[in-house]
Amino acid sequence: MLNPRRHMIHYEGLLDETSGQCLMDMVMLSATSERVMRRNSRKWCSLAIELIDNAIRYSSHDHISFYWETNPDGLVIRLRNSANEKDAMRLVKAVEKLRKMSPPELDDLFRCQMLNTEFGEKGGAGLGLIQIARKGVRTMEVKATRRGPDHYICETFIEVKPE
Amino acid sequence: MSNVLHIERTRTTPLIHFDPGQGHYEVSGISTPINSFGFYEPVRAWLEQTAHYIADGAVFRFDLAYFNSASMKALFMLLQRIRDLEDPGRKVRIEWIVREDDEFMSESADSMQELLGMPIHQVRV
Repeated sequence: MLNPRRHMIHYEGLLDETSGQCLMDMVMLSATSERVMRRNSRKWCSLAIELIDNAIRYSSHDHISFYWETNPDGLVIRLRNSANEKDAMRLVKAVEKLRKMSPPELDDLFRCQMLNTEFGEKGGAGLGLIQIARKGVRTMEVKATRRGPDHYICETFIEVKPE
Repeated sequence: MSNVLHIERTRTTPLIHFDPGQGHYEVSGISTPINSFGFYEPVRAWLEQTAHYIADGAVFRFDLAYFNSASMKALFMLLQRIRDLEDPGRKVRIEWIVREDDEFMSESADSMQELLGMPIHQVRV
């Protein structure tokens, strides 16, 4: 049975800057459509945008799986992408570190990244995961599974409850 | 030499139109380029080179639908350059368009204002 209060996007396929932009547009459309419009819809979009952006930037292979669902209980995002060992481990460690931080500590880290750090070699500002953590996500998990030499599958899961 | 900076919008980058002659300074659209620093650096350079043409009371208007966090940092660096235009004889104003229920845009403006040490005027539309 169709649930008019449930919006879902499930994408499996190539991800580059152009297709990533299409995916972001779809997420924005889904989140801000009349049926699911909420006070925090655009904030939720920003979570998906950061994950897609990270996947474009750091995936070692251009195929991803992206799942987005808004329903009366909140928001769920799942992303699966491949990465080399260095980027996969960096992602796991960053999420572990952020999950242990309090909101004031996250704000301090955000300020530090904005004011003091350079852009990374892949063009990132080191802010994406911090911004996700600052936006009050209930769950932020990442699992990296080794599939071969310097080849990992990263699965990121985010859950947010409505404010 | 024309002092106008005009960059057309693309799927991942905003329109930028800075025209000191008309007193028009606009950044509008989406900002999600992979190389945000590379996109905004020429804009910052233009501001530095053209600073003396920018009049007292200039209004810089940012009307963005959404942006990634790398763009947020690059936009912040641009805002710092705009802030630095101010001197005893020249005031500038930054306007930040916020659509109804767009907490992301509003919170982003709040965060950057705190770091910038200069008002970012949120214009609700």
